[in-house]
Amino acid sequence: MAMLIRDLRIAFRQRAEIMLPVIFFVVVVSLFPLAISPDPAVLKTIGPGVIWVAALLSVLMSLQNLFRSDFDDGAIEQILLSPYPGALLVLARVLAQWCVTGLPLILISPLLGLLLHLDFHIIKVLFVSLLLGVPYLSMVGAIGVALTVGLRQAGALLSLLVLPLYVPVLIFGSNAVVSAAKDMSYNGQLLWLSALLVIATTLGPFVISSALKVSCSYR
Amino acid sequence: MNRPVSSGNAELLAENLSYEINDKLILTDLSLAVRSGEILFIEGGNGSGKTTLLRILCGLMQADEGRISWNGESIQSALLDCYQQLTYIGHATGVKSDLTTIENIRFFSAISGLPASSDIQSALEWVGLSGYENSPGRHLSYGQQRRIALSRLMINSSLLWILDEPFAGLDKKMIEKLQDRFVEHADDGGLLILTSHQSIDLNKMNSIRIHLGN
Amino acid sequence: MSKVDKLWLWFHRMASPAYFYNIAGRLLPWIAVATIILMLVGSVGGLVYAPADYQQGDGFRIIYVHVPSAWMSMFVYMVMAVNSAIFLIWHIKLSDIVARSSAVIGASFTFLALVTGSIWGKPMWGTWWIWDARLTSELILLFLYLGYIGLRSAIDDRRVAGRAAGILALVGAINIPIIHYSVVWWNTLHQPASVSKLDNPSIELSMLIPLLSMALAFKLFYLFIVLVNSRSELLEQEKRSQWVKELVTSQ
Repeated sequence: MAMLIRDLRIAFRQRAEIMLPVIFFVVVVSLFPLAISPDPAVLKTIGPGVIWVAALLSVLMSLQNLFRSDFDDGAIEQILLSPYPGALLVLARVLAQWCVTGLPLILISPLLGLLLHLDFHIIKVLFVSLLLGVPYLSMVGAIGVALTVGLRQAGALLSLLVLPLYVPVLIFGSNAVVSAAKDMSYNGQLLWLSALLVIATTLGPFVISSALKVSCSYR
Repeated sequence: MNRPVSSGNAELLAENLSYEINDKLILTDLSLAVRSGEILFIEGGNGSGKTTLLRILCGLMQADEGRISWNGESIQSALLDCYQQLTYIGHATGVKSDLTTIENIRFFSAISGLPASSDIQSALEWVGLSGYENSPGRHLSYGQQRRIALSRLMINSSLLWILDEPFAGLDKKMIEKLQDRFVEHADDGGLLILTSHQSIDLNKMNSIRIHLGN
Repeated sequence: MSKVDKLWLWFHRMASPAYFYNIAGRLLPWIAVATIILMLVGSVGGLVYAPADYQQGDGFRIIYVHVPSAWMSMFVYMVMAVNSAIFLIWHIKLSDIVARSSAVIGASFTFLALVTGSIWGKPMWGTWWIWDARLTSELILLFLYLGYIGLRSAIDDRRVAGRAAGILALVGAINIPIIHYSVVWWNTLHQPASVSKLDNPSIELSMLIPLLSMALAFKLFYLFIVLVNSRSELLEQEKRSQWVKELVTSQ
């Protein structure tokens, strides 16, 4: 089983598009001081929300290609026809995807926090909230991708399908950081993020593999 | 109720399959059976539903009506057991362009759930890709990629083979080698279902034919 | 036969296209009449007999459309989700048809709730929109509906579209409580201590009757639309089968 994860990781290591979501993330965040105001006080207020929304959009962007190439070259079919449970293989795939795209986003977030004049202890909470939230975004986003992978205008439809499902994590994640900024308790929010992550990780792979099965049946 | 599977008495049975897509009837009340040592050859022109039938037999698509059973059990209820014994090679090769030949083969081997009955080198030799171990998929032609997929038939030999146009993109020598392998497989008690829209010389093989289409 | 077997048999009979078609056809006129009566009761009761709110005046009466719409938008989504589950698990085609018919009308109810909520708000706060818990939830619900409809229409194969959208509906249904909770929670953070203006105020009997009457009327209206849609969908999908041919020749 671990061998499968390794195999999937190899596929991703050789992809040149790894940097794209990260660059997108940085660019989007940088747009806000330009669009609104470079005043540190303003940036401190909008900072957490901006970083969270930008992270969300970057994850969405990186997902577009998640299953597409596998779908086109037939790897998905072979995965579904394997005697190993589809859910497990899918989990490995999403994990690999997250390592390659989600993790860099999380790691670069402190840097962006500095750009927006956030204090250090707030950046810590931001980091944790993203650490809990981004995997959820990847998993739930993967559900959307799996449902739309065979379609032509997959991108636009994907956003429509997935954004409503992102709302809770956005609310809790962003608010955790904002509360930290106001010196208020943020543990409840982090707890919610963890709970959502657990639910997504346990149920997600099954849903994704069902969705992939459906997508394969109308090629 | 599961008959013990030795390579002697396996059976794939399809009963009353119907499939339509948006009012276009593709399969109507089709039944077929393949047993150990038998080769089922499905022929028909383009668009006659050969690929659809194969995909339904694999479980990748669901028929509107009808039942498919493997060794007496409906495949829906014993999916993973059935897949243990299945190798399906369709139009899409499953070869990833970012991985090298050897990595692709290892991947197929890993997810097949079967022990390797042959080593990778001799399989590569068999399909005529000996020098290409470290070539990434994108440097290979479609025919070469198909041969990588076909190498699975050498390496992890499962009982049931379902192949969609296996001879496409191959040269005469490879086609002969493949036919020999098919006969070998049937002699060992394996089952084979294949399609082609060309008529292939099947005199060497003991085969049943089904013709699809109008 | 045991009771469970009898229930199962009844269920299967209900789901058989020909049977459903006939029963639905016979029920339709009754439902239509009941809907009209209840709507009249609700409208007249709400517009004429119920007291005007002392704070908000007569504009408040739009609550008799807004609240039932909002209830219906949630109810229809649940019906859609349950039918999707039935279709995915037991492959009963009728459930898929019901889910599909429900989607558009559910989205319409949601839209209606949003519009009436907005109209309600204008005279009170001077703005056309406010980010309160209910309106925001309804907005997200509208997106969920639109996503479902979008996914269905993007896939050509009708049955596969039903399966894909069905998965989406179930995922959405699981998420709705979470989304709702998070939106309410978010709203309480940013709302001043006063109660949300769109909350139901204390309800008197003379208000309750028109409200429930309208709610029931909306439910029957939904039932009517679903039955009509389902019947025509059934004819379309089953056109090759025996009972449809007999039906057509007997006209």
